Amino acid sequence: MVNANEIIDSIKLQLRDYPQETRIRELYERTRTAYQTEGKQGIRKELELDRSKLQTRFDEAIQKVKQDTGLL
Amino acid sequence: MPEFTLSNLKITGFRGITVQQDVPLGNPLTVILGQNRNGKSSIANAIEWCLFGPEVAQIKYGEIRERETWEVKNLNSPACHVQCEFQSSDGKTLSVKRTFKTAKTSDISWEIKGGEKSTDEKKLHAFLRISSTDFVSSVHLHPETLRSLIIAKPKDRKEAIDRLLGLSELRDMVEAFASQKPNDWTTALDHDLEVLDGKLTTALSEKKRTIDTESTDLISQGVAKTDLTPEGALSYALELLNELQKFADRYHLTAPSIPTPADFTAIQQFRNQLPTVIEKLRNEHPALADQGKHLIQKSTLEGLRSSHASQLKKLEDAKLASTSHPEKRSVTELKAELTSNQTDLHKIEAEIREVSRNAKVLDEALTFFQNRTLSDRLACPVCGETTHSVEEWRAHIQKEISDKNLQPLRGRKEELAEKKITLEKAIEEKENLQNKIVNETSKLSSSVKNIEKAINRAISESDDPIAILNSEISALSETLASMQGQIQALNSSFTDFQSALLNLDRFQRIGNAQQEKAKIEAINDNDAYKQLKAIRKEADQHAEDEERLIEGLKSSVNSEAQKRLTNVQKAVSDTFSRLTNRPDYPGLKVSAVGDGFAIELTNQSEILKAVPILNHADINCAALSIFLALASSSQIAHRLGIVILDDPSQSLDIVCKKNLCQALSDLCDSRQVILATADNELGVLAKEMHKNKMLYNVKDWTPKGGPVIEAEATSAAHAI
Repeated sequence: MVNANEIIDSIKLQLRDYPQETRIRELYERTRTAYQTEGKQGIRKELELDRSKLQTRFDEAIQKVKQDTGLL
Repeated sequence: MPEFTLSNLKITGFRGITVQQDVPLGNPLTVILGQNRNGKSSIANAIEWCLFGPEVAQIKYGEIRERETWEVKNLNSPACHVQCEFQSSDGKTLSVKRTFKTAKTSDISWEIKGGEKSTDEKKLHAFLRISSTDFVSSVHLHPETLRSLIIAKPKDRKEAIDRLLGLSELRDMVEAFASQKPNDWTTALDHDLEVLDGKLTTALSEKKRTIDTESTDLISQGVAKTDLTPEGALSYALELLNELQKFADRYHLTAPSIPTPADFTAIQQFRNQLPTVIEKLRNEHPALADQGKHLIQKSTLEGLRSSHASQLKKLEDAKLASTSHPEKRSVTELKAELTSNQTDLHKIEAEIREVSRNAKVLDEALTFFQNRTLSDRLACPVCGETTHSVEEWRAHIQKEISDKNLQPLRGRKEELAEKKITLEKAIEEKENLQNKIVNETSKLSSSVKNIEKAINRAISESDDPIAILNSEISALSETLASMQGQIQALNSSFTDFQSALLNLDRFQRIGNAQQEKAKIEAINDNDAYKQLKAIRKEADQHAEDEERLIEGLKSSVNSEAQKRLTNVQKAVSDTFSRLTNRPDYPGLKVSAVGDGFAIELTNQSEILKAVPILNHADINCAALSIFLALASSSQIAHRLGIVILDDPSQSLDIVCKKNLCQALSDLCDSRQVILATADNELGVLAKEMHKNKMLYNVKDWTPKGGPVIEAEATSAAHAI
């Protein structure tokens, strides 16, 4: 398995900023660990968990906007 | 660097093998010779099953799952187990034993001599750094696997080469990331945002419409356009309160005790208290109170008049019924006659009893004489008439008593009894009528008392209560009529107050709509909305990170593949050249292209796609070239230093076979090679290979005994 540095090096030109590099490195290492324990399914679970957290915040913010503007 | 080679193999009851077979290995080259269906492949497959068990049934070889319907356990053998013993380059001994349980289950135990001991299969695979798919692509080469390197679908070919290159995990990661489709997710979020924005736009239109409609209504009610503001609403509320106070002062009523609204937000509470205030003024106003009292009194008197008239009628009806009764005598007269009748009845009954008693005595006397012979003529003692027999005489006397004494008495008694019934009935009816008159008279009297109470004065017997009531009602009607003007004026005031209430509601709706409209118009300053946009941006960032990582993984896997292929490129091309000996395209090039690999033929001036040009034998040679070059390279990730080739010489001519043996001879320098073949030519050539080797002839297979495995004496002295 290649390490995170090689991945980052291969996409460095497309990175927008330093935090993005850190995020991608973290994402790669986290999903690689998931892959090593649960295979492809582990990666899917990890990504779904990330999205689910964001989706929950997104849905809550929508509800709050509706509440603030009398849409509820 | 691969380090474990196979030193020994023990097989019992596996596939074509029945009784236990010990197959010592350990030399760089092992050649297993035997015709098809003699158990040769069972020996090669036993190694695979020992390491991976039922899992191998799920492995695809190109398009087919060759082992899905495998009979693992030999039907003539009571048990099935395989034991492999491996030696490492640094002196370790690894022993692995698998025992068959069912088609889908088995037990495994493994042990490193003097070290770890376990029954954990995954741990063993982790220790050897190999999976079942790696094993069938880079250790145990089936003819199908070899061909998939060249002619399988691009995806299968890619997988096969990836495994040989040790890049399958990276490819898996790329696929897992890509299957999550980051862009689909952000598109769904955008859709949710669009829906929200749409709702906000609709709500904004509704607020504007509310403001317009309510404003129009207020203007039509006389409110100036310039007053359609929160300040205007406050001013309107204060003016209404002022009007209420003036109204209370004018009629000396209690002033409304309601706090003055300080600002627009307090109007709602103010408005909610107004209905009670207005109702209180209405109830307290003397004219309205009087009107109410008069109306109630008038209604009460009208009710009394109606019930009194009804009572009068009932009394008259009772009296009329009494005078119309056909019996004109009084109850007293009737009762006297009933008493006289009773006396007569008693007398008659006494006479009947007397006559009956006498008749009985006479009858008994006559019975006494009945059977006696008397004179021919017997005279009746009652009438003197003569008879001729005692019997006749007796009958005559009885008839005389009955007809002339008892019958008239009984007739009289019946008449008196009937008269008694008639008298009793008449008495009862007359008494009922009298009671009814008394009762109705009493009720009429109560009615008069009620009227007296209602009009608050006494009514003499000479007065007509109905006339009195008519007079009272008429007076009340006149009073009410005289109040009408004042009442109308008051009601008009109250109607104005009610309209003002509705206008306050309109102000409220306008104010609320304006506030909500302002909130929607300033949505970009709303904290939650700003947060929503930030989360959306974060999602974009997340999706972009995933996309970048996918690109990075793809790029890494491709560059890694290219790097690893570059390292073996010369070996691939040389092996191909050696195996095929083609003068036109001596070279074979494998390169990473996009998500897959291109396999091309080369000469000094041209590069061409390989598959359309190659014949069947060349395809096998190309596949073998790629495999042998990659399998012998140092970049293999697993720790097994073994290569098992099962029938690799299909379609090869003798020259190719010789070249293959030369290539295998070179491979033996870095790997332990186990070659199973039914090809006699290849077998002969293999025997001549200048390597330390073991030769086994697998032959004479029988259902119960399995194959005979015969070791052949070998020598490393011969050279090809």
